[in-house]
Amino acid sequence: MTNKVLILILLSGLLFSLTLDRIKTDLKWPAPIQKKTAYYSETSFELGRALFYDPLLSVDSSISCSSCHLSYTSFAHVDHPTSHGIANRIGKRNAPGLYNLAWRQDFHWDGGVQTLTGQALNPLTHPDEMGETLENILLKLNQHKRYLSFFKRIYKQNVIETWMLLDALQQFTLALVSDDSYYDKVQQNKGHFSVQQAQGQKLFEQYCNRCHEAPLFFSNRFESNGITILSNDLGRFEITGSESDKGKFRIPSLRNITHTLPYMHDGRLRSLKEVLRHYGQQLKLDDSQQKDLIAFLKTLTDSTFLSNPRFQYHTLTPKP
Amino acid sequence: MPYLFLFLFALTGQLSFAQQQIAINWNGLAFELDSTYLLNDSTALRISQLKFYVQGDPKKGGQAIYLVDAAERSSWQWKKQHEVLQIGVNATLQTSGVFNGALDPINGMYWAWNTGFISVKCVGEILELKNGRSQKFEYHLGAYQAPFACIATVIGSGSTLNCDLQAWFSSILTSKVDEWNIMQPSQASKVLFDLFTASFRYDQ
Repeated sequence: MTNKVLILILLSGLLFSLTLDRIKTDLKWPAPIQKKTAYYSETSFELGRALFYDPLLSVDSSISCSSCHLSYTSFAHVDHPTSHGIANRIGKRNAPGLYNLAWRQDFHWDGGVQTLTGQALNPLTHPDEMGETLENILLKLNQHKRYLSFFKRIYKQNVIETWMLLDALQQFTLALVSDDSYYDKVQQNKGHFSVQQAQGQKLFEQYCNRCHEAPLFFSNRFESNGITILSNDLGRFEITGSESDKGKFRIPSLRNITHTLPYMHDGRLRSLKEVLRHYGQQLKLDDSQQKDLIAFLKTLTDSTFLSNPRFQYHTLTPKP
Repeated sequence: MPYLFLFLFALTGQLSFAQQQIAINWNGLAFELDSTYLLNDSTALRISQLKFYVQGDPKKGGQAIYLVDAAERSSWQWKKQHEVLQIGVNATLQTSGVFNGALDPINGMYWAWNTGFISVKCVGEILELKNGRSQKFEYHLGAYQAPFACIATVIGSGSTLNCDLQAWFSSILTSKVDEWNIMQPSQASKVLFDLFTASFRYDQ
């Protein structure tokens, strides 16, 4: 019994550690930018996952990371134009989907954070999001026997520190890899596009791929897409102060796009039709072409990822 | 002529299939999203989004759940006649792990594991007629755990259940709730939810 359990744990750990490498070789994806840390293991993944779903991290224990990042919708906040925080506060930007973050150069719509490890600091402490101080979070975690036990086991320290919290959260978010859409199957010769999907792909390659580059369907750049910019959010300019960055935002991934509505940095476009209407004015796509394009975009939905129980709600269970 | 028969067939077919329906009204008139409605002499209202759950016959073992979306007329009716209707999603269904159909999180009605599904989502703005100012509001009312559980049985029975939004918003204005954004389980959420369910009436 004990041996079987041990073998299962070892196997699952091995599979987990191979995830990013597998994608590199099978699908010819670029090398990940965000690297695994020395603490990468099944246990640290489990810890990060539990933290991601725990409202304890917010100031009033009302919301968790998952409140705005639902696993069922590619970790986006579907149907919510902008993020929701503690005490019914509303942020000014759309909560993006969380997947394939290992290939991101920087994070947030304005690229204000350069590492996935550091990314969590902002939502944890932002007054319109989880509104908590790091001191309080650490205090709560250090008083929590189960968390303390897990942190000790992974980081070999008796007191939980900020870097451990951020590292553990990253273990979970780094593992959110979406690579099993119908598009991916076609790339591996395990399926064929319909005529409409193939026409949509041609249009995509002609008009969209420059920014939303396959296979990740995003680029690590900031662009203005012609959408009217409101004075309360100037995008990349707020980080660089450069005039040329006014109104530029991160190029989002189009994978799982059917599940990450509404669209744009402030969620102002409710549907893919509205998005294509916006671009259609610039690209002069007729109704039929827009339908073809949407048919192709739907092939980027990764149902395996969306329903993966490994990424769903989890709480720590005591270990012997 | 054959087309007339087809049309009549389709019409009667629709009538016979729609056993029960919700009628979303504003003071007796059919409600339309993004239209401006007068609340009183000085205030108007515009709603851009309205969705809510209706659950049928929960005490009879049935778990029929419908998501009524003001933007989708077809969601206002269903084929089965339920003797009892509830507004919201009861705790049994909330914790059943069902995430498809009306309960698919892509519908934008799922919060998180600890709060469950939103019972009523209503987004819009209140307009002050004298000065042209507007106040946006966002009500996400729900919860399945006491003391803020948002699930209520509609008293009565019938084939048409009327939801009078004027009655709801008039009662909100006279209530003690003055929060424009309610997006978490709370006392205010519960008060607004109770006022919402009080605005339902079956056709006599």
